[in-house]
Amino acid sequence: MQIRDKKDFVSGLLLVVLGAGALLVVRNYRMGTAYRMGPGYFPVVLSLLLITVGIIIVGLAFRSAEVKFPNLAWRPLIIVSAAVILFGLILKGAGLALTTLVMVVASRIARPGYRWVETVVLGVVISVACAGIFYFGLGIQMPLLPSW
Amino acid sequence: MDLLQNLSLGFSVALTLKNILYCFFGTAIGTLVGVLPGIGTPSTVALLLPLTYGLDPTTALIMLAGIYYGAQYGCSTTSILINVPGEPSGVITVLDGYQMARQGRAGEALLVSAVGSLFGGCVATVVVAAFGPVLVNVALKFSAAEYFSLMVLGLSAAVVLARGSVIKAIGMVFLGLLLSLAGTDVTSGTRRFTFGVVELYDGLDFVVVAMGILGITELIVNLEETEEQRESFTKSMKGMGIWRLSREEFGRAWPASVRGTVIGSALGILPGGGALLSSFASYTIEKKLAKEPERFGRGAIEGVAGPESANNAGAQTSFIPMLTLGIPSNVVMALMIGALMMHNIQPGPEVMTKNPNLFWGLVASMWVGNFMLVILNLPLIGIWIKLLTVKYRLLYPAILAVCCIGVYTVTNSGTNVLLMGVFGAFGYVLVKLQFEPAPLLLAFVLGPMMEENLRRAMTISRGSPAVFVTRPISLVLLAVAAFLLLAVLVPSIAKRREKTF
Repeated sequence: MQIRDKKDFVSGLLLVVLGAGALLVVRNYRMGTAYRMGPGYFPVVLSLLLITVGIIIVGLAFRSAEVKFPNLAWRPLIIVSAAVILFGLILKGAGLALTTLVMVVASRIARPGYRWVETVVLGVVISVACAGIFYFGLGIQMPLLPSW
Repeated sequence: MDLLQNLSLGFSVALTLKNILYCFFGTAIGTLVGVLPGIGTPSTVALLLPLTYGLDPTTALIMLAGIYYGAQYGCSTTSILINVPGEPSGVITVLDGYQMARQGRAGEALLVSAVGSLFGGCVATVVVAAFGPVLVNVALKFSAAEYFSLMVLGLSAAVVLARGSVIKAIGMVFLGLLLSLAGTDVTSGTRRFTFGVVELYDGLDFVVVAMGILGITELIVNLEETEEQRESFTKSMKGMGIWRLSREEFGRAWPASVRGTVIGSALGILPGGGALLSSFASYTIEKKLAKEPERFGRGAIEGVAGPESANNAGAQTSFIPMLTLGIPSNVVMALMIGALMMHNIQPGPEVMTKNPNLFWGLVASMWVGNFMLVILNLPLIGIWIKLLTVKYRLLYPAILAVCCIGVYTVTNSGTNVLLMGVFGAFGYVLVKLQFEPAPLLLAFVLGPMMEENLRRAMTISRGSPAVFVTRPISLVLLAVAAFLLLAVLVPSIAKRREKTF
């Protein structure tokens, strides 16, 4: 037996892990009966179904044609999600203007070779535009300037 | 006449200055994202969803709907002039539209697609107005068992119509349902999957999941491609040609447009249907009916008129299941349901009886929007094309900023922005593993309703699952769902299916 479709093997494994994880969390909830379902009933059924589907996908991966594991673009993946998470973390303290500037500059690291001047100018322009549209224009409730 | 009365109510809502203005915003933004390849309609609707929070629900829906059908217009422009579909549903228009442009008939192709879309859109809106109330009357008789079976059917259709592996799409449905259960259980008050995070007590916000998995993921995927690939699109533009049709071409175009409208109106209603399927079906039929099918792919005007009418008609009628049953037929409709829920309107048959302004106002606005699109967009095509030259490296940080601010405003919490980032990364992994995000998102919207109706149906039947097969409507719905799934799980059909999409 040999894993032929590496992409599907990992895909199935991912579903099994997610399903098993959900089952671990859900086991503390009351099951109830089919007549009076508790909060655990539906999620337990779903977790088991998810695990089953995952196992089927893993099984099929042994029988299908040869498929390599896809290349992940780690740089944009990490930089973009990190920039978004950073935005969520610092907005309350740093205010809209500075947070947007920092986020834009951070997100531009996602691709190599961008000019720094362009990045900073772009950051300032987007930051000013967002403050203008969302804070002053739409009157959205959020801090504009740093609170420290 | 009931219908006329209802429509006049609708127009009195749709023709207020405010609603006309937002309808214009929606259609203009829709056209823009339709024109730009790489920015999808679902992610744009997700992006603007939080910003409609301050509007009243009718205006919000009018604008969001405008984005959806506006994008159907916009994508034909890119398909015809640039040989790249601005949206997935424009794939078919590329085949003959771009060939027409290469022959110096771009003007004719654009004209035919605009007028065809207008015709398809207007007729389909009549279908929505006429068919909606009928379906509502049926739906009002539904009990919990029928609702549950209907949702099973909706999700099965989503699985069948997802591209790629069927079994993986089924996995996405179960994962979406599980994710939707996070938060406080309504019946018992138990907190599920909250991990002690206060923001999760009310559940995962749909906007957060949708913007992460659609918007942020799309952005990462785009950044993965090299810049040159994206920019070369704009270099192949040709002259526009003349802006009128010869009698012969008109004679070919209008029957195709009528057929496309009928096909689109019918397919749009089906759960999982909508614009893409409609334009594909229309093209296949036009090619079959043509006396010289070899003209197709070489600039046949029917190949533009039919699919363009069909995709716009399908876009309009896909509102029917959402407005009448509360069941989304595609991701954009799922987002519309999210918008309704954000305004505390429970989607379902009660929308029409409790909020007639909303239902009829939205229907009427579709006419207004369709006319606005033709009048405003034909002269503006030059500007849309200019916009194609805006570099993505300048665009994406701005999109990212709007995403973050938008999600923050939903509940004024940084935690939601953080979660969006996590879902964006997760969505990228899913895309790389060739999981389709659409079934996950549809399941996420339907999950809580599904659990609720399952519980109720089982309580009424005293724990006997037979209730789902002894009630005739429920049985039919489940049988159709089973048939759909079996049809694609039979390998020979599955293979053919991969070819068609």
